[in-house]
Amino acid sequence: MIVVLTKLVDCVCLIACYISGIAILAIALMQVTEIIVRNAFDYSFPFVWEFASYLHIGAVFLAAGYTLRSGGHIRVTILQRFHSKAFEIGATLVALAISTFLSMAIFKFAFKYFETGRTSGTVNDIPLAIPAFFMAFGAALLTVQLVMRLLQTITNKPFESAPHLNNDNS
Amino acid sequence: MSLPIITTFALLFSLLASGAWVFLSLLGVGIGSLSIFKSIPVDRILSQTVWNGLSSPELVALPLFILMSELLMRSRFIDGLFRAIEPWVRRLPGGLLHTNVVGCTFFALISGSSAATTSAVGKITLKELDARGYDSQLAMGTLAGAGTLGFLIPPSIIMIIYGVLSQTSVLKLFAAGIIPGLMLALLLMVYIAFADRKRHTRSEAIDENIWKDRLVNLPALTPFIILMSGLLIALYGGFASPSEAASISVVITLCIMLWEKSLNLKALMAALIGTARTASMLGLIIASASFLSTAMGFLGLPQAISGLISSFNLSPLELVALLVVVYIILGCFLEGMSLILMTLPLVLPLITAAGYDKIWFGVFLIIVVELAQISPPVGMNLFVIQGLTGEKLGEIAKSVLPIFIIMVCFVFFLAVFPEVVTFLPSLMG
Amino acid sequence: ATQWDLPLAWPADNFITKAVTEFTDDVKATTNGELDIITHPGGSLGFKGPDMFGAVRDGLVPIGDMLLSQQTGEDPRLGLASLPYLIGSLKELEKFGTFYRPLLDEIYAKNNQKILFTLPWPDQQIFTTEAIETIDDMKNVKIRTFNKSTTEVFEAVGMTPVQLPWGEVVPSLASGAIDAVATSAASAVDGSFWEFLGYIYPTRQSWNTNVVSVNLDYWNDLSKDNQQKIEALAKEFEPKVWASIDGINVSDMKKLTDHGMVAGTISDDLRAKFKELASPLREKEIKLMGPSARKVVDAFQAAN
Ligand code: NA
Ligand code: NA
Repeated sequence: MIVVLTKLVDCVCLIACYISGIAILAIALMQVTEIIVRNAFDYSFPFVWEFASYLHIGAVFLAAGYTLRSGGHIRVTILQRFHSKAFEIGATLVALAISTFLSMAIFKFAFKYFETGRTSGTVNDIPLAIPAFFMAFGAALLTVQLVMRLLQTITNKPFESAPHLNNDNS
Repeated sequence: MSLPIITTFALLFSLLASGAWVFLSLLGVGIGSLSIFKSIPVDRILSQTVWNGLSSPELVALPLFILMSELLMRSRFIDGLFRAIEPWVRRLPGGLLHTNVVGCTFFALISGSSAATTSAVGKITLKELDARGYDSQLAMGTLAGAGTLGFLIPPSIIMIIYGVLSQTSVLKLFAAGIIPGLMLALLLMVYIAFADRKRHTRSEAIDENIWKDRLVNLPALTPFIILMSGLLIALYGGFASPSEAASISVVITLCIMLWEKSLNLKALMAALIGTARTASMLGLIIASASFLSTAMGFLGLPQAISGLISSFNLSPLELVALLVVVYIILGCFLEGMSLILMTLPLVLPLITAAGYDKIWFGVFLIIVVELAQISPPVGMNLFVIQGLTGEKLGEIAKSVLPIFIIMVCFVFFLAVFPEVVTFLPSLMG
Repeated sequence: ATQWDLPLAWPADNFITKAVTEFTDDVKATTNGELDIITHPGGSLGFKGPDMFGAVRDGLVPIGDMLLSQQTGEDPRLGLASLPYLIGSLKELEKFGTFYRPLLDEIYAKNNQKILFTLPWPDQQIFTTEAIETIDDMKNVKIRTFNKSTTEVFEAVGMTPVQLPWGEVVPSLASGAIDAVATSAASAVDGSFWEFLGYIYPTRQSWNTNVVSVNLDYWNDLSKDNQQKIEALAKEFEPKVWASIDGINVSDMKKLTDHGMVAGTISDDLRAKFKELASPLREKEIKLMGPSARKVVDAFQAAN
């Protein structure tokens, strides 16, 4: 059961992480297109800066789950030496509590944007619920990944893995 | 007032020690202290400040610089940078350790962020230095220190933010950073020359033909020069703004890699995954740090501290000394951008009243922010190096300590000789 | 004593920050220290300009200062006074306020807040590298704009509006990535524009107003006595601030010209052209805002 769940969650996290990377690449391509068009044709796309910020926010949150799973988030491990398993369980529980609060807060935030129809109020007038829901989804993935980590730790399964980074990892 | 301060610090220490990830710990501190001392909707403030912290348009350059370094790391031409610098520094006392400093100085010219500079240069040098038997402590320490040049040598994200907040000329700030930046680089090289004790146990390449090596490897710099000149032309030729310039360097890097055939789909995907991981790690810390700084603002901590300072009636130099101490303490726990956002409105009036120049203070602030970048437990450059090497944070922090002391001395040097900072901007009228 | 936090998006030396701080000092004095409002300038509390309306509504802060045209994402009608060439002068803006204020009060009340006072920004101008005399001089000039109506007006006269964050403006001017900026003299002083730009033109394409509002839950917690004192204070304070704006603009303009900038004029022809091009854009926006906005505009135009 845990094995199947692990595979499923990892797969979703990996896809979200790819989307995150592609979003960052998209910022670069979009900005360069803007620079070329602005200088060659005296036209400026009004959405570039705004979209870039949303893509950045989305990218940061969408990759959060995979980053946790692949050991990419930073933490202090001074107390690990005393009892490794207890330390892991404790750390994951604390993290899970805070991450749950974060996910719920962001979901409420996104929902409020949706409810009030809040837009960015710029030239583009983007409904802010759209980027906010991506953010909420990423936060939720992180929380789910923390739940998996707790299960994996308790059942002595490997809780950190990064098959897609292989030896190319740095 | 002391109760919120004590609670905040106690929460911070226990959450960090619990092993909960740094960004979650920072969030936890903010959530906890706000829930205890204030009756405001904490979840709403949390989501709003996390959103705001990340939606700063100036911040978009950060993931782009990370993407560039991920690509560079998979390119062939970046090895050429190392090959080309190597014969020039090989004979200096300290040998190839200087590639950290020289590499970061060059890279700082194209990167506006110190984390990105550390990451890009570290990806090339750390592996090579390790393979050649250099002391890893020294390699990591000098890298973390030299990485901070990313902020001091223009372009610089932090300088842009300071300029906007303090209403000072960003261009003058850019100019003001150049001399201190180069001096700091030189200081680091001098330190390397004295600190490198392992040199006798290393087997260096035979360097009978050193001049041949130096010249033969120069063409390897061509792609790097194309990248730099592309960027400088875009920036100073009026084609792009500083943050947009980061995108240009990504695209130029992609083009060079296509040309040298080092870019395939697999490498690109790996670079994207790597970028997403680093951007997520740094982005979440920045987001949670901005929430924490809001929480501290609500608790009135910055006001309490600055009120305390102005009650001492200090001489200008004493004030700087005290600020250094306060910033070092705050810098342990806060990320650089939040440090500036949080303290500037309170400190700037104190500093101008003491007769210091705003431009000078900008450079001062950037160096103390750099100190924050390399001080544990929350230090961006340390995290980047931990990401690169997998070393324990404590070990990395230990390796940075001498550099930290050098930089503190450097700050005082600038306080005594402010002309070092103000000379170039004063030429601009 | 009750303590309130008041976030401001503007730097500490900006005239809005100074005015609001003066008000909060007065509040402390009149309430005998029972209400102490602490200002947090420069975005130091973590809120940005467009967040303020929502932040006060949801009680994140008891009191806030907001630029109305930045809050259009919450309700498009908050941008009414900033529509292009609807209002011609500071006097007219003040007059417009008498028709607009009831609608504003209604919108704010619906969003759980109460307006204490408003304060205007000085004339909107454009700051350019090259002299501009005719509409042809505006062709393809890259101008940094910040809101919808301004962007559309400048696009209509043939300029190239570029959306840039404020932090990118100065470096982009330095590098020449943009050649002009639309803003007020106060912000031009904030950005030391004389380093890169030579000319100032009073285009007055739009007018901006700030509102200082208070969350109703917090307001109702105050004693009746203090509520009355604060209301009286706001009533007395508002006209005083409005009267000081021309002086602020003159002193900021002097700072700019002292640094060598040339204060140009807009010919009647050019301004007429601007107005003509802006008119359909404005009508479109008013239509989108609905009948309540239309009514305010009609009443204002009938009286003008
Ligand atoms: Na730099
Ligand atoms: Na630190």
